[in-house]
Amino acid sequence: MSKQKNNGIPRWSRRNFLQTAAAATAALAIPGCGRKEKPVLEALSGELDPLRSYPYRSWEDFYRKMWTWDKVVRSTHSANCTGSCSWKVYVRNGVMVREEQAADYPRISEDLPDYNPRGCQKGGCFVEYVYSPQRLRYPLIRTGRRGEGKWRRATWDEALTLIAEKLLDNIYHHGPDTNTFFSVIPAMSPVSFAAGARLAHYLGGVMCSFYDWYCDLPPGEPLTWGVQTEACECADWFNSKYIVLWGSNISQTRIPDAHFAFEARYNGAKIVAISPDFNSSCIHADLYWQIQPGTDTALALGVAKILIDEGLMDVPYVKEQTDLPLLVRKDTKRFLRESDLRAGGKEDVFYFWDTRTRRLTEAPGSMGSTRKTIHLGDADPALEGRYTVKLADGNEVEVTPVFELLKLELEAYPLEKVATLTGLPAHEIQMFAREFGTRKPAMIIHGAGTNHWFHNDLANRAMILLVALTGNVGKNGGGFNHYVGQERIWPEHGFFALAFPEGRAKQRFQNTTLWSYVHSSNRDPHQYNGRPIEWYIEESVKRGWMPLWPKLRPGEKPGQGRKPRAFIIWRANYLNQAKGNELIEDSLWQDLDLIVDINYRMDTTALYSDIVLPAASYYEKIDLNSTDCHSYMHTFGQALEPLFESKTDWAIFHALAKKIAEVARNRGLHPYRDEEFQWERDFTRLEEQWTSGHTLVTDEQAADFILAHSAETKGMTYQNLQAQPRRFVATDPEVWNSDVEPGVAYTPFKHQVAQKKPWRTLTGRQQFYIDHPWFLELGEALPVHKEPVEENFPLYWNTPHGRWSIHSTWRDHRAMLRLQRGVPIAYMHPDDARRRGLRDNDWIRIFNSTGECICRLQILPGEKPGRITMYHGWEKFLGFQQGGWQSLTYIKIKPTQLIGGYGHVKFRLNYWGPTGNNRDIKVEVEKYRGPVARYSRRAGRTSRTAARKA
Amino acid sequence: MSRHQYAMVMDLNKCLGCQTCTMACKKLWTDRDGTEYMYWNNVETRPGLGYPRQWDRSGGGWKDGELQPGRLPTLDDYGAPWEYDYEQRLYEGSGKPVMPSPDPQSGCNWDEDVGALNGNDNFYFYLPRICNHCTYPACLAACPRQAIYKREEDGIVLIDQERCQGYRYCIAACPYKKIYFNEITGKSEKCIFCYPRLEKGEVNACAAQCPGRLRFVGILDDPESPVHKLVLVYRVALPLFPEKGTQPNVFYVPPFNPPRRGNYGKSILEDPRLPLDYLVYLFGPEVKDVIRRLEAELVRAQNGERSEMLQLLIGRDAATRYRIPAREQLVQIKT
Amino acid sequence: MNQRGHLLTVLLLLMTAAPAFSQQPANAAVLPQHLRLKAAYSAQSVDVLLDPAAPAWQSTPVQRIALNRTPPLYDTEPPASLEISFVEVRTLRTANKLFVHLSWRDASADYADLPAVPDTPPEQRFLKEHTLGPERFFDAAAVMFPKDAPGGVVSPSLQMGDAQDPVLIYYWNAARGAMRMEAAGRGTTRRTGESFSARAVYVSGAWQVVMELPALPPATPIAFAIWNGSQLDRDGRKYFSVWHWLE
Repeated sequence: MSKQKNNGIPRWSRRNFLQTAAAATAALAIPGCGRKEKPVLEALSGELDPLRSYPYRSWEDFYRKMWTWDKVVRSTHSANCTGSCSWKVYVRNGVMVREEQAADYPRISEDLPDYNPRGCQKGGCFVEYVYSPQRLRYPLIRTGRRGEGKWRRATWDEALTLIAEKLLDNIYHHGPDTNTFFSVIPAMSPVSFAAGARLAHYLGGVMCSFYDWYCDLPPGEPLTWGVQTEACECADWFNSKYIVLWGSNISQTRIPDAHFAFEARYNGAKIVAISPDFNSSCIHADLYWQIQPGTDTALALGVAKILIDEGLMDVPYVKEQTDLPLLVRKDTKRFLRESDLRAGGKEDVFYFWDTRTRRLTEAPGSMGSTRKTIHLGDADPALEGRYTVKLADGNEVEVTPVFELLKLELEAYPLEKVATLTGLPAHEIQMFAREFGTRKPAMIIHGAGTNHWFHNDLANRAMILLVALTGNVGKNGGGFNHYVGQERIWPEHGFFALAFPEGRAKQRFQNTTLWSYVHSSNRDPHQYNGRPIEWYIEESVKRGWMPLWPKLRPGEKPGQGRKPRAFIIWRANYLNQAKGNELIEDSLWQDLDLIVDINYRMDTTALYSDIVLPAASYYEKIDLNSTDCHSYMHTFGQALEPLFESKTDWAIFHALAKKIAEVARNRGLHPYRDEEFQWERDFTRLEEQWTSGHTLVTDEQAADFILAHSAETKGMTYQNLQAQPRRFVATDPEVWNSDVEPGVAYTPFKHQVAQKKPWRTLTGRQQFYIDHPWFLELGEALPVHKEPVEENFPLYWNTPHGRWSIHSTWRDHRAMLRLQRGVPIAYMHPDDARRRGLRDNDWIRIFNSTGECICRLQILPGEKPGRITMYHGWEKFLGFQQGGWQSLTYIKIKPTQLIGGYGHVKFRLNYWGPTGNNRDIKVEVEKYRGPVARYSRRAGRTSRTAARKA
Repeated sequence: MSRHQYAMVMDLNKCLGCQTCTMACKKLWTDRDGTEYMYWNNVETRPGLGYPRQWDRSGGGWKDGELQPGRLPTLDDYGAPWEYDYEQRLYEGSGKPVMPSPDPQSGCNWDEDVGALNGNDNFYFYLPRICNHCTYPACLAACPRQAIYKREEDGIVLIDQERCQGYRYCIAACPYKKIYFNEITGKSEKCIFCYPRLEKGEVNACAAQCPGRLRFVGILDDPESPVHKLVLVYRVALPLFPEKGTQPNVFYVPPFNPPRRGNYGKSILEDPRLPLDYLVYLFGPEVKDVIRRLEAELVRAQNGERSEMLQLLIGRDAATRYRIPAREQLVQIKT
Repeated sequence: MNQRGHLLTVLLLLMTAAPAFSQQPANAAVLPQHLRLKAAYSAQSVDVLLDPAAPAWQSTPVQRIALNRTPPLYDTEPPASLEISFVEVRTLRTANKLFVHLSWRDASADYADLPAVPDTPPEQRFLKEHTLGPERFFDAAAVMFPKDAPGGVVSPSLQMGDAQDPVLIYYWNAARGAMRMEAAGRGTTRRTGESFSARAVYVSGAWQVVMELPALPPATPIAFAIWNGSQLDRDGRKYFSVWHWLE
């Protein structure tokens, strides 16, 4: 530009930037910009010098006007991400235009980074769903085949009448347990959850679980700790000095929280990432391990061996807090119990060998112990040694502490063997073990990467062993912290009172994994200890360990009894997310004669339903929101009243209760005698019952009911929470294991570790030894590494949680799809692709003996060879030319997860029950050469009918 | 040249690649006719194609005091924003899957998480990019309309949406390809550093909404501002492609990946997973010193000592990360 | 005329067999009339005259006006070839208007159907209009004359007039339609926001464009410019004529 062409054009004035006076930055020594010669910028002739000043600035209002609004309302999202992020929704001209994190969580302490801003890219574009084509605007009744997508618009009255009549028909003709209800995650919107649960409760319907079914429940926690899941709130990560990301890709699945880990790194923590692929969290680690899939348990046990061998164990902690000193009989492999020692003795009193008194000593704090503390007093339990004990029958038996058995067990995990198995450098495993044992506090952040395997309970128990051996559980900055799904609701008491008003004992609950397996054509071909899973299921149901609805009649085996008839789904996408997708569609789905979906968007389950009811979107409702990732309560709010003909979940179920009562009155129905609970169910009074005598009519009344009936939310009301999120003020000691302390991040198990309260287990300790007969038979009394349940195909089918969706939500969202590759993609290592002649963006067919799916391929160099990954949740209707990501999986139940009747291990909804694992599945991949559907739309357009060149 | 200069520092070791910044920016500024393909703020995986594709090899900038030729990216270089035929599948019973149009062959985040080298040697990082609001803006110099200017009070570079004629010399001249042409309005548009927000004391949307909390915003010549400290005191933040001569006012704390397999415990500078040559390509030769400084501070922190630099990078709250003076305060800043 | 109507005309004529473009000047006698543009009177209606293929234009004498290429403004711009060396101009007067018919050969028709900005605010629409070719430029033509129509041999600067002698530009673009602009020197061109009537056809490798101008008084200086989109022409990167004078 400086070379002027003087062809009659006036010469431009010249000026050197360096000569410009009073420049703000020219005088600064900017790193990287230390050149002596600055560019010469010439302005054109005339008065304009846009580098220095500019006279025409009135136009700047153009952009200022875009950042304007008429109204801002606090709300959040009812997606199962555990995010629980408070947002502001901006309304302009009667339309929600955008959202921004509210970023006003009160700070816990000056030392801890705060929680602001909390929210991800998905929360930042939810508004688009509100007005999208997927948004359900009116009640719809199916006119075509299920899933075909042919509908007629119905009135609310017509749709509700159909549903009410069907539910009543089922109750009186087939039994109330043929009406099944499915919804997920009360914590994310407890009022909406309770709305339907409450109806199920008064109808005697079956309420299904979600947390175990989605394999987000870490079964090792109920087994070891007697809890559902207990994790520190994420601010506590900052207190750690050693953070192990184990099967957890926090950069993608904990977007609002990941900063605490990476900020902890600047505060002196080291970060270790263990993952088969070099994922977006691994890039920020101090140590990255590309582990062989399915070998995590072996790694944990190998590290445990080093911790013990090298004396890196916190011995006093282990003696007081774990079952490792408890004595086990050599003959039966069972704990030595009081009942062994004297007739009439308890089954739940246990012993250790006190090295001080050299005597057999009752371990305090077990379920049968009269001492409600685990404080050892003057005792010093032996971890090692063999002792002889005289039994009640006069025989002598050898006993030894669990720790001895553990050491023996760990002999199977020498360093070199573990290194070979896991594919990791032996010297790094050793370094890791030494750091884990010395850098305190140390924590494991655990996720679905390891939890979705068939042997997830073993992996959980092995990892918990590491944090227990090193004394890291129950301390800020330490522990085994599992974050997948959102199982828990802080104001638990108020929630349960709202959802199941007559008490949980009077509610039919169902583990969904078992229900889906038994009522569908899913079949597990494997044998477990020489028996099919059906044998275990039958035993478990027969012994009353696991419920199975509809209830079996005498002589009936699981699968031979009555079938579920009506299925009511809200706040969930059951069908799309169901393992063995086509199997469910071909069997269970065919047996159901009414499927109702209550939703704000047409998801796959809605598409395959009979009646679809339009729900208010997240920005059109009143509700509460909490998570185990933080310690605050905040709210949904109505930026606008429910749009189109939609209603809030609370209003929908209220209307349905009212309609059922009306139908019952019109039919002159007598109360239904529900023998199971000795309950005379008078459905003509259903509306009064459901509204608790018209005191719980509005969503806000329901929200305030929860807040008022929970210790955690004392003093909180919906209105004051709309002003700002508040931190919980206390915890209910019945259900929590630590207090909420001002100025301190919440971490669980301080009641046990600091206050010496017994753990909620059979032994009253962190229990690594499970002497249930099935565990003993299957060789799992102690955590042990077991190979994945192999299938006859070469590639692991890996379907992790990713950044682009919360399960299926946002999977069909245009703004999100534009930041990906537009259609479902699977990721593969370049070598695996080359071997199959596959190129990037090819259409591929992924198949195994269960099913197939046709999608596109992305070659990902950081993927582990021998594995193909598709981030989960893709809606079946979008982009797939065939099948979906769950077409390749099937339901596989692990026998040990069917047990009950063992102290703390007993069925509880979303707490203990078989998990719907899926990581062991294997597949093959080939290039797809068949036809690919093309875009078609009658209305609207994407490209103008213009030729660039004629 | 402006009296003061707003600047941003992005700590790439905190970036999650989550694109919340991208979406924050899009929903606020480019959710309009003609702007759908624009991401004033984008996040790209490096090494990689970039957005628009190969922008780092598309010319522009200054050399020996002269503007350099540049290429105009095509729509395919940016990636076409797909539309979807939801209705036919969900309500009209077509039986066909919902499909995008046009057929996806490129996109603004096409090679997400790809990086370079395979398997255990794989390396990459995320690079969020906005307009650099350069001290010597090539775009400004290239505009024959003089419709691009630098705000005298804060150094924000803007394209006058009334006077712009859509000639696009600015796009060719920008070495970062951070100007986009709106075909519907016939004007070029770009990141405005959220001046409407800053004027009201609110930090930029991309920073305010960043859950990784990796952005620091303030006046570069304000000694109290975090950006001043990071760029000029601790000297851990560098501009992108300094040799392009525009002197960007967006700075990056350079990234490092974990050591290669088997190298745990060794220095980042010794056989690094993320090759230093690549960082030198992006951030200039000073990046080696910066990495060395960062690593030394990390080691100190791991040994239980306190590092003021890292304590600042922790950025515990918004008040630490952002210093947004009121407009009238801008004139009072003493440098 | 709105933009969409304008485009329909273009498309329609591209698709149908249109009258052949006159490759030779209809009247060779016009050519030697140096820098003078004759404008005969026509009684035809506006609609007829706005049709570039109307018989009225076939019978109007053609003046072939030489085009020059602006020198490269920037070293940074790729060089352009000089393939369009002249524009053929026909002019007709009605009672209160001047109609100018421009035709020139251009091997590539660079045009697009750009949508009008919808009336509904973008936040109320799920679908937004898309930019499809951020790199593409469109063919265009313009007629420039003094804003104050001074008459005589005094003419403003060819470089978009000057401060003393501002100019009006009637600009037609193959994608954006017709728009009025004004300028008072290089770099000052701005759209007035007004449109004017113009129609265009692209037939057999050439553009024919008719513009409806105000009835300029005799002796008004007038100049022409042509842009070739495929050559990245825009702004001062164009073909231009020297001043001519209306008779």
